[in-house]
Amino acid sequence: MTGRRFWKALRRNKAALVGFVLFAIFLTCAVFAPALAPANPNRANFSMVLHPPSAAAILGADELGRDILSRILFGARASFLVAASTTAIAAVIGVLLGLLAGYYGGLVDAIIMRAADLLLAFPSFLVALVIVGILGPGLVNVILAVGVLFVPRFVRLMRASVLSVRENEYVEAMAALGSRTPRIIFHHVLPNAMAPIIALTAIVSGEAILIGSGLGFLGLGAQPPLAEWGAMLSEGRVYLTTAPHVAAFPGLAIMGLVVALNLIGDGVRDALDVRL
Amino acid sequence: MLRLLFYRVLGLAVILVLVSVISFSITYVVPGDVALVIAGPGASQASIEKIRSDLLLDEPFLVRYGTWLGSVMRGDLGASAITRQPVAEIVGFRLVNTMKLALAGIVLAIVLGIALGLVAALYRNSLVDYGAMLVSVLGISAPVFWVGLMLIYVFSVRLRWLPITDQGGVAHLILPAITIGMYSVAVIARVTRFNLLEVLGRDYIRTAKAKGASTARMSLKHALKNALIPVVTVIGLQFGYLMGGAVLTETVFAYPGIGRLFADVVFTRDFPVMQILMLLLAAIFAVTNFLVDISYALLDPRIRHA
Repeated sequence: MTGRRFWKALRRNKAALVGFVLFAIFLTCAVFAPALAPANPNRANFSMVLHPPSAAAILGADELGRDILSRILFGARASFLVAASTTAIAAVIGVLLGLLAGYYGGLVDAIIMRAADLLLAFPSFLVALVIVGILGPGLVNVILAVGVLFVPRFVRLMRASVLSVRENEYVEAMAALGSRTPRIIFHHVLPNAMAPIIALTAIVSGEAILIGSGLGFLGLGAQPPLAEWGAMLSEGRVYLTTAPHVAAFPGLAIMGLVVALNLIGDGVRDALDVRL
Repeated sequence: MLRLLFYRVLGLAVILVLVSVISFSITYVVPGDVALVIAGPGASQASIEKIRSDLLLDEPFLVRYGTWLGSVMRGDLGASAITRQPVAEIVGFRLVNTMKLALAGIVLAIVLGIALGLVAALYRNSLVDYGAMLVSVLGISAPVFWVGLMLIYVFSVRLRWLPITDQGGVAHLILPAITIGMYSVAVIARVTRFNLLEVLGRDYIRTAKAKGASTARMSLKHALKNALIPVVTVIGLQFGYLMGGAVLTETVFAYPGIGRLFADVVFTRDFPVMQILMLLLAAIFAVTNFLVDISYALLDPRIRHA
């Protein structure tokens, strides 16, 4: 698969295009939140408590009269932080371990893969829940927990890539010609495995946001008054009967961003023609 | 088949042993003194010592693990560190409740998911297909807890069709089952569509078509049977996902199951209950995967005879 053919296939995919546009919108919101937000996301305004959507506050106000649109814009930062850092942790550790397992085989391979299997032996949300339970609540601990959770996925993918690249004759030839192992890994194995890793990263970021906001909903994530979509939803839950907008909009934001990531992930996967 | 069964049972046994070690070991990785953590701030020295001796905290790992596993095997699941209530009593009826919920969710997911995937594949690239796939993308992207809250708002608060919380009977299961099953509906629909399209493109389907089999008959009889094999694996995995999804769904609906219990003990740091719940949930997950592996082999002769 050459780079140009990949981009051509990806550009033809309308769903993926929608995903990219949605993603760009959310990214803009996160980066320019201070400029875009109509109000201070943490300023309470008691004349606006549970105010429904109106001209004064487009998405309404929450139980402390804080502007929901502003909180959603700032909340995008927390979600991007969770998505980016968890996948970075998982990808770096996973790729490294997968390379070791695939390249050296034998005992190294057996130990790494059995450990990965074991982590996959527990339902994933529960693993994250237990890790946060042990470390204590907070956004940083949520990131660590979800990051660890996704390591086995990258290990498996990377190991499979290494095994398939290692079969190539040119790799065998290079080894026979005396190329050193690190050179083979960094110049041949890694570049070939990059594309599926990118697809997995997109899909995993969506899951990371869902799990992260789920932990936030349970009160284990970002602590008040920091704006985080899951926590906002859980605050709005109490006022569901009288002010449903407080819970509705943060949930829509989560869904929108995760839809974008899933469409991108699907598009990249289809353009690459790999199964993940 | 017997050999395969032997290796699968062996694999299951190894996983269960390792899972029990991990579940037991969580008290070792808690930062600080477990007895202090459980007792909470301001506890007396005597109560801290009591917890320490109850949990055998000063004994070596193997002694503690052996004692713990031994009593679990004998059916003695210990007692909550907080309420002192026996764990079996706390977990028992909640486990039954969660099983009911998970079962309702998975049945819904299988029926709706396969139907959606089938229709999408049969009318490929039509509006029906796009609609079904849109629903499934939304299904895998929507946060469980938000879907639950919105369902409560629409059906219980506005329309007043269904009760909000547990009143017994079937009605109270409907909204939680939809909430917990929604993600699985979407995943099963995607996998069904993908595999059906792949199978429909194969030679034997074209042969059947050439022999005059009608499209509907063909897709149901020949294609579906073959396309469903990978779907079985996904259903098994989804059951494990439902166990995790139960935490959020049960919290939203104030449903008395082990999911909500799990979230509660994470908050209260009730480690004896947490250990049993981890062991229990991982065991359910492992046994489900084992059953899926076996049924996979039964459905696919290529694996059975390998």
